[in-house]
Amino acid sequence: CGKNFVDLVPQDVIPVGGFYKTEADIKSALTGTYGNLRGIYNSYYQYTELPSDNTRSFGESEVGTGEFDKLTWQSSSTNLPNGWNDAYRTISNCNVILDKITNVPFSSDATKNQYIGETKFLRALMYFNLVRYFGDVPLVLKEITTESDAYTYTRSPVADVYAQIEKDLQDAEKVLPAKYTGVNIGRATIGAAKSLLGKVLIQEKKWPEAEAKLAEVVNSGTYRILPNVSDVFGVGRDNNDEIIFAAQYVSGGFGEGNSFAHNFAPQPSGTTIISVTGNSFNIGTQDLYDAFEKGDVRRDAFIGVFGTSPNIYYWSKKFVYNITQQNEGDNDWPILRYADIVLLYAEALNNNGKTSPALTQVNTIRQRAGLAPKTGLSAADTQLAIEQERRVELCYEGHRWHDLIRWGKDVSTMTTFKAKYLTLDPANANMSPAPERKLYAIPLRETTLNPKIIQNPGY
Amino acid sequence: FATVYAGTAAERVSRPDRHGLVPRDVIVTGRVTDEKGEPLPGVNVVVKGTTRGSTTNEDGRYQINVSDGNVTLVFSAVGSKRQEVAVGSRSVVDVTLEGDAQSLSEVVVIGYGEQSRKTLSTAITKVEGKNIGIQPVSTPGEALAALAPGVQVQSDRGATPGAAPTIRVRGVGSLSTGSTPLYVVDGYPLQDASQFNLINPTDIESLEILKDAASAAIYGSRAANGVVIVTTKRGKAGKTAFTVSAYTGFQELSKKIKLLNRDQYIDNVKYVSRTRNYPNTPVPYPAVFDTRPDSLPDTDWQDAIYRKALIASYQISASGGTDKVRYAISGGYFKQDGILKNSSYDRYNIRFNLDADLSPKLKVGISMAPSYSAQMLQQAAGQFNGSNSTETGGTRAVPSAVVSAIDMPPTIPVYKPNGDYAQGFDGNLNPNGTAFYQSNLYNPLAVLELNKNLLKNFRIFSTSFLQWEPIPNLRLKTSAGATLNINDQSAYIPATLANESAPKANGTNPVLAQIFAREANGTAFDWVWENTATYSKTIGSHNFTVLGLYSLQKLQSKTTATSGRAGSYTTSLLPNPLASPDRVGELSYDQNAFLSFAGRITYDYKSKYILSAAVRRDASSRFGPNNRFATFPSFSGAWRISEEPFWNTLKNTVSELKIRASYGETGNANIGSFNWTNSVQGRNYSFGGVRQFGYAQNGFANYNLTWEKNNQTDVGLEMGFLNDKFTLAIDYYSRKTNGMLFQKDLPGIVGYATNFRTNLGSLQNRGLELSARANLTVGAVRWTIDGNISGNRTKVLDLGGPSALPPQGSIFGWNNVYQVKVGDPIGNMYGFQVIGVFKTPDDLAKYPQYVTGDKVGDWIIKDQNGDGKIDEGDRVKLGQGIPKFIYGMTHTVQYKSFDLTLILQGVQGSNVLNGNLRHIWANNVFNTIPLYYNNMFDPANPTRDVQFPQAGAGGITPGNNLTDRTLFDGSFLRVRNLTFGYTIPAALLQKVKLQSARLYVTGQNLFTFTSYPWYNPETSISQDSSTQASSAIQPGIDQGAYPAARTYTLGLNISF
Repeated sequence: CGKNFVDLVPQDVIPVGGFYKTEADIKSALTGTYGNLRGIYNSYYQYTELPSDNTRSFGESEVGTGEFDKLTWQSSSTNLPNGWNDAYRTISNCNVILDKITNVPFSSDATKNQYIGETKFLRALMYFNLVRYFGDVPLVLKEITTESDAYTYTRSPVADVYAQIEKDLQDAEKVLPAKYTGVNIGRATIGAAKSLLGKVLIQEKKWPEAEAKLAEVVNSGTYRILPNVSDVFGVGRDNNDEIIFAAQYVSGGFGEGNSFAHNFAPQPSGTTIISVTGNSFNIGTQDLYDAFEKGDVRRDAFIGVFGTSPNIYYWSKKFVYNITQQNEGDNDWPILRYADIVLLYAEALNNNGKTSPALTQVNTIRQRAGLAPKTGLSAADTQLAIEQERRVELCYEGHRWHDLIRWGKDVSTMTTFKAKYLTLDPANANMSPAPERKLYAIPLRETTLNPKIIQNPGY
Repeated sequence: FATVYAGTAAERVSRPDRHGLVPRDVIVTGRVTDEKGEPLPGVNVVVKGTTRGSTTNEDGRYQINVSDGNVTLVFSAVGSKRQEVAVGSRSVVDVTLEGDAQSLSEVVVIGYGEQSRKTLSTAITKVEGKNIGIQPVSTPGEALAALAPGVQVQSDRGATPGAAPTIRVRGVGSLSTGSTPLYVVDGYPLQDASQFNLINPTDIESLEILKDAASAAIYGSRAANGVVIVTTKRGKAGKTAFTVSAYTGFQELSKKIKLLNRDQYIDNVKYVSRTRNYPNTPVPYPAVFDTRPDSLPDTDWQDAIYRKALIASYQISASGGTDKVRYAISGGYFKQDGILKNSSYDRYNIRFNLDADLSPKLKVGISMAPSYSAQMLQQAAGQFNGSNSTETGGTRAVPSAVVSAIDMPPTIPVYKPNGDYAQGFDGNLNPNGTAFYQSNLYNPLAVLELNKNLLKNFRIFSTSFLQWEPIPNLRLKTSAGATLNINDQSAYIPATLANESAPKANGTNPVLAQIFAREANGTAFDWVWENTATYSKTIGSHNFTVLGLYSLQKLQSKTTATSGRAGSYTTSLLPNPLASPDRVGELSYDQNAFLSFAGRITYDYKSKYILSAAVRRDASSRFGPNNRFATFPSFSGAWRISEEPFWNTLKNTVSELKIRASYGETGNANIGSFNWTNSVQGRNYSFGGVRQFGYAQNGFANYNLTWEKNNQTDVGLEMGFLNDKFTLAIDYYSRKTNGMLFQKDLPGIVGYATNFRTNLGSLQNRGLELSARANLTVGAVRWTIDGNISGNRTKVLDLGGPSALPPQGSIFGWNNVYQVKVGDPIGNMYGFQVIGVFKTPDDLAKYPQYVTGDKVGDWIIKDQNGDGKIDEGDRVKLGQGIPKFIYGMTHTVQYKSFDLTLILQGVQGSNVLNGNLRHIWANNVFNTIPLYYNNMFDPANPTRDVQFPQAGAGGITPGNNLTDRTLFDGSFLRVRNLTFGYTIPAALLQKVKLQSARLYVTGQNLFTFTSYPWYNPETSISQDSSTQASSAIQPGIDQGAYPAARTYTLGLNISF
């Protein structure tokens, strides 16, 4: 009995060595990559909505969601590493697919190219999140196979990251189909690639390029503003004509549902709103509720009210639907919604001096909300109108915080907010608006492991 | 304690047949003295081959009836050598018993052999089975506490029925790999340490703990953390001896936590309400707190969940045999109900050991030990609303009963008027009609009474050997062993149990969709085949023994489980997964194999100069294909100075003086089976509303993964004084672990793995161990004292590059508490040092503030780095989770027919962070403790001297960080065992044909002297998944662990 006595291989997992050989392997690897979106968009609100004046967390103060809400996160904060690790996990999945797919025979080149396009779209989406959260980030574009490899990366400048995002999206829009049917609905489309690119360009303030790209989406005729705003969200309304790209969830005890309902429902509501206990992690503020103009049908369509002053919980009707099990929500999270694109297009137009066409776009959104159109505004007032419309139309969807940053209003808005609601919410005393909070701290773990990853200023 | 009566098997060797003659009784008297002529009381005197016996009185005198002069008397007593004397025609037989220098003359089991302690050159501690069997505990491991120097036994799961303690020999040898020793039972190296704890403690003859690398190296790749060799009782030739042992008694909560009563709680609610939003609108609270507080209940939730619980053990055994065939059979039943309601452990053991001499040159031996156990688990550790812990392995998290019994306000009754369990949200409402109490605080009694998690284990352990002596002094032995282990777990969470999945579930409101049912079954089959050749030769005064070994071992296991899909249940009529129409299956496999060659030579000259060397070469499937083989050498030597001629003059005073030294290398393979490889794993996504199956890469492969290596040097001194009346052993060791099997962090950018298993760095354990024994005779009292004390220091020498690892958390919310740094010991706890409370606006100007600002009522934190602000940089070392030293002392006292045993256990110089204090701070919807109630800043009385910040404080608070205010000294001294026994005089027993009978009462964990303010300072959930803590580098965490129990039992031993 010799050496082969100890030559054992695992019987219960698929070894990497034999994988990525067939079209079916690549297809399932791509499905697995999409699968990461579920986790990422479950907690997306923490990075994109909670720090803003739109929502607050009634969770355990100063820990977890409280740190995002109160702008007190530190490099050591509990939830912060997720924003970094989840994005890079998806990027690594994308990189492996892009590394391997060239040598895999496909029945059709179109399918192969489509998969490459989808993969690049997902990679761009992840880098867009990363660059907004952390600023300069390591630009990893191929699989890291050795430990020492991992330490060769340093933070690439924001400009380089944006250049890569743009490149990936331009590559993607060339090969992606305009629409899918049946069991392919939900995959990245040409519209998704163009919309994301437009959104990226807006965040970069590349106004002419953004206007051109967003115009392609608006003029494509693929998407529309649904007549009734209540038809846009919720169980059974997934992938409607207003949704360009969404994180897809499914209930049924598979562990593939969302946790919006129990995270966003008011905790003291017991089981009156949903059948499990809510966490109050992402509750609308009084300021958001008051921001709706009189007669705006969206206020009551988007916001539920629970409790009485001073403990009123403005819970999100966009995302809270009854569930009987935690993490079993079936409704999707819209990542790219046509109303967002329309308003971004308006913002681009206005910044390019086309105020009147910009207002026309804004009014398509206002009209659905039951509000009178706005006309004859100055460029500056049009900008304010766009800002107001974005706030209320897109509330809870994870746009507000990075909108405020783009508009340069993050510190001023939150400073005013803190003072205004100190009486109502004394916990705001701990709120700490500051210019450096435009970027999150790089997780302490990363800077400890690799000293070449330099911490953001202020942390 | 077995030696106070004559019923041990040793006395029954070569018992002659009865001849059927009518006995002609004669009376024999005499006096028994020691070597100095002092009388020896309590010596057993037995007529060999009969059940007749007597005991000496305090003057050493005895009297016994014998049938005729043709008999032999056997004299035996603790601390003396047994002596047999033929009576002949004498009627007076005086005897001088030699002191038995047990600790130096005993035979010690070493790996693949035995050796006289005198000629031992390595560090091996022997623990007699009687000290294990005497204690009313469920596992032999628990009984080891305090008995052996350098062996730390931590009952970190308190009095959980059937739970095994964490055992560490000479410190923690590795940063992120298991540091459990290797257990070898009757020559069989166990694959799974937990099987050691299935052994009935009273079946154990002795435990030998191989501590230094030289003694352990013969077990090579698995010996780095020491080896515990278990020898079970075997039969000896003679008439069958029957023994019945039984005890029964009860356990109770050893300490209750003082919490606020109803009126204090209501007072605290008002304080928190007033101050949390200060100076703004107070937080509302139920009006009844002001109007009719006395109408509310005053529930003691601890009384609701704890109970006095039964513990009992019954065993019957028989041993005996002829010159050619010997046997020992025992059957036992152990029952332990938990002090936490509805937790329990029942175990049935049978052991059958048979030895037969087929011919003078050919011997066989067979051991079979089936056992069955059933353990009802209840979740103790974790968070109040549920977290996965050891107890919930494989089932869904349910609320921690231990924690919620602390948190539940006394104003909530146990039951509602309709008979339902009262839940947090049921209680008094706010003035606006909303729920006041924490809505996910659940009734702990409901959890205990409704949650079912039953773990059944059926095991057959067997070994057999064939030994052939083809020529004198050469023994060829082949042994084969097999273990079949079947685990069966039934978990059921009924529709009526309120938890996070169904907060309003109750008896009158069953929520069928939330039912959880899972049946899991695991089968593991392990076999070992070992072949040894041993040749012993004496040439003049030179004694040699040479050993060769070839060994194979392989484990294969499979676990399957079935559960109903979440949400699919529509009936509660069937409490198992078959009640669901939609069932989900699970399947997992595991396997590993070891291949080994080894050799050893031991040599001594006149038992004076002793040398030994061993080498083992091992291969294991657990390591990367590139690096599977390794070689483990060891050397040791000893010099018995007291055997030198020049020592003769001192010999009367210093009867034994031995110095020894050893060096060796051993390995550690305590990792899972296939850490070296990576895989793709299922990750699905839905397109078009339809689930689609996907895979994603997971893990980081390391084909070079290999053994963790331990180099250990040991220097020892053994001394005996006054013919070994007093003995002393001192050991110093230095143990260095190289190439630690480390779960090394990878930068997050790697993506599909955040860490991987590799070999890196080095860690040092250095320590000093001291053990001493005294055999005293004071008048008629014979008193033996065994004491030991040991201290171990760890130091991280290298981390493969970085000077520190990323900091690790402790409990939820207390992050960055532990950090491993080069040059530091492991187990350092970091946090903030509190210097007071900001009492005035002036204070805010005077002291540095938290990075995002402070206000009056916040804590003032010490600015450790003097940069004028409080942030992560101001964390400082607050404590150490690993004790500075541990000690134990065992007293055995015998006076006439009375005996007394006292075992003391001490742990000194460790800290415990009390995670139970985190969320009961400043929280009006939980109950709390007087420490907070009396010590929080109140803006209405700002000058009062307080320790804790105001409710609603920002900056560093007890809620968000570990500070020196929630870290405590975990030192303790425990009266682990106190046993008082009475042996019924032999003369009385003769009438009922009993050989011996002894009655005793035992108190286990009677007292614990400690300043630790929670249930149990021993609680440290290291290497336990019940908190975020997951490894040896996070010692000293307490969050809702099962409390310790105090146990009282009454027992009886009978031999006939």
